[in-house]
Amino acid sequence: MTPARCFATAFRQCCTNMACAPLFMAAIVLYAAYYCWPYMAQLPDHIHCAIVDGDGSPLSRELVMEFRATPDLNILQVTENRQEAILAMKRAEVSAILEIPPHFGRDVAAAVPTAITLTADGAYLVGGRISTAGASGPLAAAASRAVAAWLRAQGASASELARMEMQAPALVTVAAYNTISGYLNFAVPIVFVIVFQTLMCAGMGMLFNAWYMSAERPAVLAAALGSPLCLFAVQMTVFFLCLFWTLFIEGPVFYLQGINSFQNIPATLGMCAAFSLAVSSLACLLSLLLGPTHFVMQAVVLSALPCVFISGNLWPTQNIPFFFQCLGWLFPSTPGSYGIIRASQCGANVAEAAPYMAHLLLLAVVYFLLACLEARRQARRAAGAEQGTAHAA
Amino acid sequence: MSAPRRWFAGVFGSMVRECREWAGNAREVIFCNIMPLVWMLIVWGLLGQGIMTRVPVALVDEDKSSASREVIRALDANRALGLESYENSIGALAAMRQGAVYGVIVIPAGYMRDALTGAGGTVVIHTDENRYAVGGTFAIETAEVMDGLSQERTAQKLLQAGAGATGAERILSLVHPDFYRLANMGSSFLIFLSSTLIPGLIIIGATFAFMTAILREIWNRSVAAWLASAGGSFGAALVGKLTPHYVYYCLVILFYIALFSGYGGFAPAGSVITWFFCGAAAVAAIAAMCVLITGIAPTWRLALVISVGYAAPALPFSGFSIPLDSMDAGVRFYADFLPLTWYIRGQSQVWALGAGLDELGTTFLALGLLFVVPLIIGLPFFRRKYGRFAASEEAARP
Repeated sequence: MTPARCFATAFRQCCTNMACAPLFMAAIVLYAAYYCWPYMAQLPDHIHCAIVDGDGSPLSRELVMEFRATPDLNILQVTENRQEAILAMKRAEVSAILEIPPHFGRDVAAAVPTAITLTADGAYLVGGRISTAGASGPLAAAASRAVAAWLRAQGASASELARMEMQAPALVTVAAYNTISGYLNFAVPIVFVIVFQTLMCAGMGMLFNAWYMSAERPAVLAAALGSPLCLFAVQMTVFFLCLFWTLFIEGPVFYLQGINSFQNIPATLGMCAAFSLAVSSLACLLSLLLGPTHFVMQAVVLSALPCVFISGNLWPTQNIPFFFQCLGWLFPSTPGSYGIIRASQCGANVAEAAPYMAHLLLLAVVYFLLACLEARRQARRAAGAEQGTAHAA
Repeated sequence: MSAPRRWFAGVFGSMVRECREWAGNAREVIFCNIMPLVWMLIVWGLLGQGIMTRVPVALVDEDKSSASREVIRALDANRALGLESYENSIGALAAMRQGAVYGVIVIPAGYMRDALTGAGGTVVIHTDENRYAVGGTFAIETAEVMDGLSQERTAQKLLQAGAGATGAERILSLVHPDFYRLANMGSSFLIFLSSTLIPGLIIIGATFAFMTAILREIWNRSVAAWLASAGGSFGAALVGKLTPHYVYYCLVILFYIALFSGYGGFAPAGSVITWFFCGAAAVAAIAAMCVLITGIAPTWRLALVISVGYAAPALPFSGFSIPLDSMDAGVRFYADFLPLTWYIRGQSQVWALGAGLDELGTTFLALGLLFVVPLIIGLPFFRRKYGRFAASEEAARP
């Protein structure tokens, strides 16, 4: 069988064999809708919150109104009974409780220090942070008003107060690359790279499994085991499928979802190609190693979750212990997610993305060489088994 | 022998056979039982202490004044920020684009002059929002440093106004925030991520273990022998097959609780036993879902694909990243069909909020329904499908 024939046969099998076609042809499209779904809200806000107003004064009611006006919080309950709010939180009906203490209005008027307490569920850190941020705004405004009132009482003029306000070091935050600080825009480009790696490895593994398990060994498998060129041709089918789907997600899907992409076209194309090559080499190696067993899916899918975090996009690489950093470098998803996001979302040029491309190409070469060695071992073993059968006959 | 005793004898027979088959298959033990533990420990290890320290951040001081140096000193004292000086904004922004730094702090020229004249000195920070978790922490830490400086300035003004040291402190704390994040006061990412990712891995591992055990009989063409080991009872055969794997994953849940609350020191506010029951209920719900999927999927490969599609992407629907409160009603409705959502909710109720069994009623009821309903729907399909396999095996026997 010629390499071209191997490529054509493997490609047809990838698209039609029910062992792998759902992974190669349908999974990405389904995933593009399914995985984005929980992130469609973009901003983590409207955290369900209860307020315990132990004061009931005009000042505390004004503060409650301000909390209600904060988009970060969704005030579901305002009560005087603390136990009622605690019960609601324990039943997971609210995620945070804001407590205005008794005599709050009187204490502020008399310049007696007083505190507003926010109790959030630390198990959901994002929700906890957002409720803290939501409560901070009205609280900071209330604190400023109290200080200004005291200063005015001491005889400070309005212009002096305004000048004092301006003198405080101000901070302007510019959200780069993802200007709305959206969760969809942040999480989906990272996770999709890992999804590609998982699906391509699982898909090729399932195809090889179907070949290994068939009653008569298919010619394409025999050719792939016998010749590195044929093996490369089979690998190329996964390379083209991975490249097609990567560009499909980076292009029309991200466009429809409003995620910026292709900020630097040559670098994005180069990164997608290098990533697809490395993933196809890894898929080829894993398929040869695990194809004869039924455990491709089990081996590949479990690695996906840690790969997201080991990539350094969600947790700083510098804070990952060195051993685990080295482990992360072995997966194409680590340089792949880093480089594709740099090029496509941030607009890094080819020179800036070059280290990630070089890393991916190195992985592609190493994994392909290992796959060739494994193929040769299997071909020799098969030949030995055939000879043994012939002798016995 | 009475019918119940015969049934339990069938369960026992199937269980003994399952343990023998399971132990005799080294690959299955490695991929379905050992690898989930290895990945669990990797997730635990890769987060280190769980606190971001010295995260590389570019600093551009265009003012080079005493006021800008005061800001830099305050920023440098923060443990989360690892400042790296750059000559100009262009180089700093290029470093952020390349991924070398997670953010850029620019103190513009004229900062001190503007602050002193009352025009307002402004520090600009650029955060890499494509690495939102790290960029967000950088923005929060920088804002806290700047707030501290702002408080210092206000204190100076209050002293000038004749408040005195005690008076200034009192006025500054007039209306102060008192924020608690139960179970995670230090905003540790180790607590936050390991308490969600590790259960996610356990659920995926359990899915594979149950699916592999059920599908093994198809791969080995031994459905008839399996049913025979349970005296021909489908129910007994299935219970006997799944029980060893269920017990194993209950032990994994115990190991996780010991690792997290014992070794990690993140002790629960509620009962450890209730926490464990919550995990055991989630694993049981996954087992029932595997029976349903195997029953309705046309081929074993498709069954494996569907089970992965059900269990693997469940994590974002649990509300661990973007909160469930922020999601639309449709997503929240769908999330209610995933055992992981209820497990993480129950875990948070017990571990962080100290809820008792009476407050966990909804959580356990939901997990109970996720166990019962798939079994009621899936068992007839499963029985028919495996009955056909057994019949065809019997027919093929010489």
